[in-house]
Amino acid sequence: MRKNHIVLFFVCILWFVTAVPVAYGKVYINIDSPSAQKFPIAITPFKNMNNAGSQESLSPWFADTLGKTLEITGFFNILDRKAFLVDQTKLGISTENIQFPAWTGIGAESLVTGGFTVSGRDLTLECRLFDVVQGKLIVGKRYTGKIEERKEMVVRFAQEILVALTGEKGLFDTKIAFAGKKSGSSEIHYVNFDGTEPVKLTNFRTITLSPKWSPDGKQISFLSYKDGAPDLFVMDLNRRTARKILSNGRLNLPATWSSDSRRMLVTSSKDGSEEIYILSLSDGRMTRLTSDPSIDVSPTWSSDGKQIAFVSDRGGTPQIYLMDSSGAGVRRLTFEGGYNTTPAWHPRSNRIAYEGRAGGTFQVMVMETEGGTPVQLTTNGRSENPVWSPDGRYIAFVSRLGGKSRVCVMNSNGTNVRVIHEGLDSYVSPTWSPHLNFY
Amino acid sequence: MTVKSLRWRSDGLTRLNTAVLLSLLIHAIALSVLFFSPAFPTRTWTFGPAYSVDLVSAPGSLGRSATATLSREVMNAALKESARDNAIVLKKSIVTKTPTPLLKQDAPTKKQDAARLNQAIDEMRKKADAADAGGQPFSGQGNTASLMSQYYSQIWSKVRQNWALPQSILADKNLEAVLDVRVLRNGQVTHISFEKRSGNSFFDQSAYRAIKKSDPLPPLPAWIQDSSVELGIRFRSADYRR
Repeated sequence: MRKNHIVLFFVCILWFVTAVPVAYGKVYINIDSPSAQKFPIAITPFKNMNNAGSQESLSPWFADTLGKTLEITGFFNILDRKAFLVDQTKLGISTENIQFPAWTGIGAESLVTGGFTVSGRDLTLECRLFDVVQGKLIVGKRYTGKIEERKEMVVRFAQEILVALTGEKGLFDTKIAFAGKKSGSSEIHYVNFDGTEPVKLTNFRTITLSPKWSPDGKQISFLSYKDGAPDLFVMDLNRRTARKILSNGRLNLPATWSSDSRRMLVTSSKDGSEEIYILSLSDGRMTRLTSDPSIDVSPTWSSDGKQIAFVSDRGGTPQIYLMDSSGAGVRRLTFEGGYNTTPAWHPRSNRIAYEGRAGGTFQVMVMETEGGTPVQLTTNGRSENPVWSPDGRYIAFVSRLGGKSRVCVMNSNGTNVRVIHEGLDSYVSPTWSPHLNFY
Repeated sequence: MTVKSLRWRSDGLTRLNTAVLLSLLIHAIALSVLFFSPAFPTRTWTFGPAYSVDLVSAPGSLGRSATATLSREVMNAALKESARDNAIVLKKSIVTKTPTPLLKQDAPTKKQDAARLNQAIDEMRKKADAADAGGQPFSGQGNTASLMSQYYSQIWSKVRQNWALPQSILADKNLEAVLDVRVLRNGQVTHISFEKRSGNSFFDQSAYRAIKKSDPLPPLPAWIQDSSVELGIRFRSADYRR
């Protein structure tokens, strides 16, 4: 027995001594975050293919417009044309003419070249995206149409670039609606993702609030006092007609639509205190989900529809709670800050953006639904009412800073804040459309 | 008692065996004492991947805590500091002469490399920890660590510098891609392959591009004796994703 022990001890030692050198082979270097948050991309002036003298100004116009379009996404660092080492418009714009080292040399990862042919009002545009690091063509497209359609062609190629480099086509075909207050009345407005084409949707000259865009993109629900009481309406966006769907003399606030656009979560005080209901749009039937004597508001469905986040003051202060879609299993999510409202469930993950009290004001926070530490995304002024974009890569919110209210969009990490609407007295409740495919 | 000793004596072969075993045992003990001597941190003795250089990343987003920002600043300072230290060490070669001849006689082995690397890592960790705790980060910094940390920091810094990836495009998952890289003495990268893919092709591509763009890497330092080295570069999103 003892001998066995000695032998065993030995085997262990020998194994140890021989095994250790094997472990010396390779060093691992861990890199936990990139230094650059944006893809460096070079866009050459577009080549005038048939040398139509009158169209020379289009050459930089295409490059500038594509650059600005990509810049809006917050994913690209558009390299300055002054830094370019070669002139691809002279060398040629197709793969065999590209001087890849000249582009990697200035720090580019991608390169866009383009050419256009104008004859009369007809425009042919060809665009290519190259991976200059690996020296290959990623995507090439040719667009033909009228010269007036050139902006659309550029946006469509920007979408190709986004698909190739990020896997999603971007949000250029989405709009953001919100309630905007001016001189005593509040109306629903909307604007494109890039801040262009603002439209005033309602003109009821009263208080109209809380717009919610349906997932099919065809309707917007809202609360309006247009008939004297806080009733709930749904507007058909094609016909521009508003249909009253809930009226009982009490407060009826619309919230999230179901993914099939046939039901919606609403807050109603029809049974006394504010409670959360599911409203079936086909027959107007309401199913009550909460029954606490405190105020329960602002429900939002999870991406899979199985859970609901909402705000309740049942614990003394307004906090965010989670429950199953049946109303069972209520549990509190937020504990920090003392005042947390307007939750929005990320469309593809279990994260919730909300407005929380931080340092004496309110800021946009994001928190995992399993709990954990909230991450504060905004710091300036006061930031309210966050909503996610359909791809979950952006957040729209209302910013109050220096006495002014604005509707803003930022990337989901809090960077790249852009104003998409300003000029009215105040804004509330932005809501993001799905892809409307107008590009 | 006697029975026992008799049994031992009764067999000459066993006695020989015992002697051999004892001799081996003593050798083994001597070896293990050598291995476990305080000069070598225990961290070295893992059987997984050899060793990892885990440097503190610079957080780029706005939504970071003050501590993270502090640690970034301190870390940048640390890298500069260590570089400066090395410069000083080179100038002061006479002062630090004692360890130098030892190294030459013993011809640094991979084991020693590893040990020193780990010391370097430990020191960097301590610095980072100290920085996080808001204390004095650089008190009593040793010189031994500098050689190692400097080379791997250079690689880390260069690859990280060339790694471009917008945070918002990452899904709700912690991604990790490990790329296997062979570096020649002059720093040229002769081989890049995926030891592990993250499952997100955009993440993987960005990691691949980062290494491609970093070619050539810093030339191998003198203390690496091989004509080329194999490195694993592990790209992770856990600290980064929001």
